[in-house]
Amino acid sequence: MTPRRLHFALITAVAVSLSWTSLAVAAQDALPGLLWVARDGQSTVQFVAPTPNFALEPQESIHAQLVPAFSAECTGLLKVPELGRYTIHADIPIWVNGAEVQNRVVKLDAGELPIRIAFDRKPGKARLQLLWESEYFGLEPIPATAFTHRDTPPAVAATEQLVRGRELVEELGCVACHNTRNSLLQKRGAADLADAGTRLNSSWIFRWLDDPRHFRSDAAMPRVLRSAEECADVTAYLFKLRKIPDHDAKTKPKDNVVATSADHGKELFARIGCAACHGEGGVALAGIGSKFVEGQLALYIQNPLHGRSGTRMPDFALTAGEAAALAAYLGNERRADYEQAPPAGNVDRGRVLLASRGCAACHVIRDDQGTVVTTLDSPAFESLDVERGCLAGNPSATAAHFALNDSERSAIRAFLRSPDVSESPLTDVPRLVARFRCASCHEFNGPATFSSGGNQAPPSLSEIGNRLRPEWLDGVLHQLQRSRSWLELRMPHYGDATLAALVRGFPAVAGVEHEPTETLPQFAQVRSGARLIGSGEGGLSCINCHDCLGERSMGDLRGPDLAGAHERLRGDWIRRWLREPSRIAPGTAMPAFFTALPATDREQKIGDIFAALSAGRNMPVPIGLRETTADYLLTVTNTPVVVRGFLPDSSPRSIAVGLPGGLSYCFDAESCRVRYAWSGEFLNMKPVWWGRGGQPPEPRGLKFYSAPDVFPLRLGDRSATPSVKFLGYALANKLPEFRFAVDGVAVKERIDAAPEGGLWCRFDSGDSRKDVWCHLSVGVRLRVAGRDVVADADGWARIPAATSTSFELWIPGPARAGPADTAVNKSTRR
Amino acid sequence: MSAWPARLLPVVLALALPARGEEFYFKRVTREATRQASLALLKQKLGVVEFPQSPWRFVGPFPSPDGKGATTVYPPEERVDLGAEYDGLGGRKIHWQDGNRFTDGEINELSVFPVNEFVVCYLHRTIESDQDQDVHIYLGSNDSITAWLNGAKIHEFNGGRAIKLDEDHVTIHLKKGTNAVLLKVGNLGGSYEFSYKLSRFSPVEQGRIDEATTRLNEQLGRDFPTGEARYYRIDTVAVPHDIILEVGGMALMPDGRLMVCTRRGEVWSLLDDRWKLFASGLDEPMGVCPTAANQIIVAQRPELTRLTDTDGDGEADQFETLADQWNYSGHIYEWTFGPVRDRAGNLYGTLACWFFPTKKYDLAPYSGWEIPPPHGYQPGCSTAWRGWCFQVTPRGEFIPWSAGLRSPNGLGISPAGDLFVSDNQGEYYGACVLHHITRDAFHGHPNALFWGPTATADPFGIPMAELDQRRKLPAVVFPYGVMGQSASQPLWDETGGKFGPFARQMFIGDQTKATVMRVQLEKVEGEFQGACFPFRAGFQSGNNCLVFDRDGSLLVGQTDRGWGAIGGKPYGLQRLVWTGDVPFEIHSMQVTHDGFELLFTEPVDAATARNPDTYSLQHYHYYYQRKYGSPQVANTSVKAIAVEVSADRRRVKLKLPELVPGKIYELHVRGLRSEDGSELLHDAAYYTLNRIPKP
Repeated sequence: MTPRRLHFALITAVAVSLSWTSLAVAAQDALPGLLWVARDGQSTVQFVAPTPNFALEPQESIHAQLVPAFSAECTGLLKVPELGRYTIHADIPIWVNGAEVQNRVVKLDAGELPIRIAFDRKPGKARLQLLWESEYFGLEPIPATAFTHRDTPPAVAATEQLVRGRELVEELGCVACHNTRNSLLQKRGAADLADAGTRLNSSWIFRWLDDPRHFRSDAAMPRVLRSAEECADVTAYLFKLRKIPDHDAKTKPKDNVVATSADHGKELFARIGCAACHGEGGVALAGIGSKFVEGQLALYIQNPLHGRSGTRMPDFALTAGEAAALAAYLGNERRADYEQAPPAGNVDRGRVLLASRGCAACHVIRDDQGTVVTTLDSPAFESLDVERGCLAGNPSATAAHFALNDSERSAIRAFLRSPDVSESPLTDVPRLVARFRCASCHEFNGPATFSSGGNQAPPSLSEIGNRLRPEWLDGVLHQLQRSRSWLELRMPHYGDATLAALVRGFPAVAGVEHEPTETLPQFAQVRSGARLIGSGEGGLSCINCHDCLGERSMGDLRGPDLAGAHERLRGDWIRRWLREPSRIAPGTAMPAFFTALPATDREQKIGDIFAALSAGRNMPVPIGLRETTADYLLTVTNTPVVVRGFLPDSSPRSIAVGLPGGLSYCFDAESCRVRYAWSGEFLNMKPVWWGRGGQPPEPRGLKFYSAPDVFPLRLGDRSATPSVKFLGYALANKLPEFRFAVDGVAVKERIDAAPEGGLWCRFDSGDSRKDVWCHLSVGVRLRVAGRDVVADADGWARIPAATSTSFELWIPGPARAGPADTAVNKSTRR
Repeated sequence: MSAWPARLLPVVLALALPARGEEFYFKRVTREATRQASLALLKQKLGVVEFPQSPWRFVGPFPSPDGKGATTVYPPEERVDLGAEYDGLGGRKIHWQDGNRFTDGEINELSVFPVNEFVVCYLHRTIESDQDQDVHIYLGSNDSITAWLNGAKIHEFNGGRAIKLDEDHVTIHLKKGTNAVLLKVGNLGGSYEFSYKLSRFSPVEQGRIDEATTRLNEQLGRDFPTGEARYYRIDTVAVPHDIILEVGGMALMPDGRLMVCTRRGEVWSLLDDRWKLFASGLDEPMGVCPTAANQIIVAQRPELTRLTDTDGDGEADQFETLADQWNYSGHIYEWTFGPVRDRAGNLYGTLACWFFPTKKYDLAPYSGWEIPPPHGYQPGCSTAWRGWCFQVTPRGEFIPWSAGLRSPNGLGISPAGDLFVSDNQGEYYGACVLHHITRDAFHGHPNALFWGPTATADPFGIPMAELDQRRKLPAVVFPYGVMGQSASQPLWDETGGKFGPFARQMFIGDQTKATVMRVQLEKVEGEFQGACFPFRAGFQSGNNCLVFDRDGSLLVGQTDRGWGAIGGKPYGLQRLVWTGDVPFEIHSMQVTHDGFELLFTEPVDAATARNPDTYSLQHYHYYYQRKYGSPQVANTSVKAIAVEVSADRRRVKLKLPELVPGKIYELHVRGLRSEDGSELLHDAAYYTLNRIPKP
């Protein structure tokens, strides 16, 4: 087969850049971001950041070069869009046009106004977030697009060189050989070599060892072997470790698959995002077909993280068929010079070389004699001579050859002279975004370099910290959670904890506080919110463009599932998005529903929708959502509804009762007592009524009461647990009155909604010759003949014999909330 | 604010669909001419568009171990190349084949490969569309199905199920020009089928069209009855659209009201087309037993409950627990069936068992039989009295009555007061059966032996030979497939002739095959045995419950949910009416000491009746085994050595060389004519021979 070049269409070069500034669009005279000058008594650094915001933990600093106790001044320009009244909110003084402006209404001219902020770090956590509001828009974090500066001083370039030095030190794995006390520096692992001979062709291994940069100009692996003979020895050793490939159908793609799927592979390569990194000027794939043993390329593409802790190639969750298609496409890319058989080598010498040349410092190498341990004795990181060894302009034969250019060498030398001293999200975030090429597909303070825009664009990272909850960010980055499964570009998986610094870093650079996820919205509000989400009368038909409760959107457009919105998004962001979506994402398809409404109406409606969203999967099914879901929904209108079934968290002999007004409870006919109560819609019967059924019905709403595991009545002797037997129930106006025997005495119990909220459980014990003891759990009250009876310290309240056979227990209702909006805003913790 | 993109609003299709009752029936001289004319009118009214579609091409089988083939990507999924050769199951080279035999809108058999279990196959065809448009695809499958349109996945069902026409619906967008459809259908075990229909009509519209077609067929049946319909007519009882009448039980009240309890937990009463909700919120009631003018007893999963309408408003207001002595763990198969009441006022119910330790006995797990219930998994023991028939006396005493049942969905008390229960094929039951229930008997499924007087800790460990010794043989075995696949409720004809010539015989529904069968029982050596006969097929859904209305017509309550039934409708109520014509049928088949005696409904033609070749007989049995189901075993042909026709020509005695007890005798009467030259409506009878009478 004639070797040919891969043709990658429409790929622009991806510059690996490590600073905030170079990621953004450069303006002619005004540059994006603000200029920080920060010092800690020892050093001074100058750097540019897109916003002045940060949220730092006690051990973190504003820059990795500074200790946490720093003082800093930030200057630049604030772009004011229109002449008008503005309020800038901040906890520290903010100077605009030379005047202090924070937290009061000021009149600002349109244009770029000088802004200055000074910050003195006190011990402990530190946070700075600038918000503003005006007559033109509501309260919001000041967007990065409003901050610019002129005249970047040369000191900024020096700081960027240090950041670049740190990145090179970590990417090239310097500290694998040169031990360091600096815990900030991460070691980078390399591939497990146990199966290298199984996966890779020995001809290719030989060439790679001889000169990694011949295959890939950006290879991190240095050249450490000194002759063809040594390369042959190591190749022979690795080849000896190979396992005979398993030739069953799963690992070896069939010929006809390969023949028919190369086109499919080409299409996948362009569509799912491979070309974002492997496009023209990106990570070279020339000769990849010569690298892998037949069938192994597909296995590698399908599971690139396996045995390769340090790899930058992520896992795209490919099916076997997709991997085979990609392998078929890429496998054609062969080079004859990688396929020349290597000279014979000495296996034992090869093993010795792997230990003595430091290979084992990065690679895991195990054979039947045990693990190969590096025997290379390298100076410690802190005592390195920056002019010698690997860093020498012309490294000696005994050094590792990284083929560094002058700028790389200078960056590493600079970092060695001035290593980082603190953790700093402001330094980490841009470094990691560049390392993992996030900005190829995602917009990040500037347009994405690779991805298409419009409805197929992956979410922007510019405001990610303001938008996503860190819990969800962690889910996306480490637990394969996805909210837009339909996008053509695939968000790959980078490893189980690889991107932890971003989970912490994105919210930190936005300067946001952690927002608790748990809320207790009022059901009435949840219900009106669901009505707005639906397409019934007065509904906004959100479900036309958004998935909801696992059902696809009803229209052409597709947005993330609304039932997952609260789990994913910060509450303040949801509100801002609902108020005016185009302020966050200009040109978004999401309509601004409320701009024409008076503020109180608008906030009421937004509050309702927010309440519905915060109910998550328990959201009432919006009107218009696919009939199949709604068909199985039992709702309560004017009269109580009784349903027997094996409810969750109760015995199979349970009876659910839904009351008008939105409260429901579960009565267990086996233990003859109320087990729990919830507010919301009544029951989803799909688990019972669909297919063979046989699953528990799903109470739809929020539990507000769970009974303790104790029968609440004692007749006579309070220490003896009575025996109970269920006898049935009678309906009066559809409300059941349960009948059961307690130690042989017939008892009736009727449970109804209390006008004051909560539930009244009205008992008639039928026998007044004995004392009656009632167990009152927290919040539950006992009333006999209109008067409260208080329980003793153990929770038991006594109704003396011959007092009354009837008494009432009051179960408190869902937490009372204040005015609609604040209730959700405060997001009460349960 | 109101600037909605117009394309997001639901598209309202204004269709000239036949309103309910609208006439589109064109009666012509023959049945076929009438059907064609009416259908043409219907299609014209609806604007039915036929899409030009290429014939199906299909390729298979590809392996699907444990059903995993449904998610394994085989080459046709990546690119369809109709000329390609693939490696199929077991490395066989397979190619695309002609699928001309597959018909749209019907159930198509896919068991055409050398191996049809745990396999998948692909089907491909193209659709020509003259414009960009949204249309609807309706799919059904047994078991898994995945569909692609122009390479994009449009539908996926991955699991096991019985086929139901049009069960899955997908709205698709056809582009102008040629569109390609690819289906992938997988089979786990058993039947392997798919259905496909392309229509411009949405499910709601399609439902109305199907309804119109059904009404057309019914009218055709009335005007031009053929076969069974000439003698027994099926009328569909109109059920309001908002009543999900998945019939679990039915009974007639003293005032003539029909009480129907449904699997959704409602009890509806019906009198003169008036439906009224008597009760709701019950836990899957599977039987109704009236006990007074205002009172019924139903079997809910957890208990037997008496429902009383104390204030006479037609709705129950009192729910009394009569019996709940069995444990209830919440497992899907834990039904309580019944109750029925004997003349002394005792109630009887049955408790389905769900446990069979397939893993322990190294058998393929079936239908989730071993799936733990939501409330804890304790093999067998957590669920007391599972597999038992119980009695509740008028004083409320609970007496475990008879053991060894499996899924006994059908109780009936004969005119003489004997209790019979039908049971379903599965473990320990090679075919569906009818048990005569007697106190303390053991009927065959050992799960029940966890409890009772002979309780043991490991009933499944009892040797099969010992169980076989102990078990009471079923009175009737329904040969699997030909005589249904899920026998349901038995009912005796006590109409005094209003239902035709089979007075005092038993009728029994079948859920899967949507049939009603006929059973004639006799007592031999003190035990019941007898024959079953085909009677009437062609119902709209799975027949679960039977009750005779006061006019002598047979009401048939139906459901197919979870266990598919042919017929196509998910549930409903139909009425089987005797037209007054007597069909020429084998009325009964009784055993003699040396053969069988047949009784016919009409005098027979002596010449054909005397010919021994008219009677084709074979006998066989089913394995009594742990494994699920059984094939027919030891099929042996038998030839009559003498034939004797009675003087009134209604009876024929067949003398056989020998009679083998423990066998099912399957008889086909071929070429027999009645005196007036008619052919038999059904030529088959199946006699379960447990005992042979003494001469």
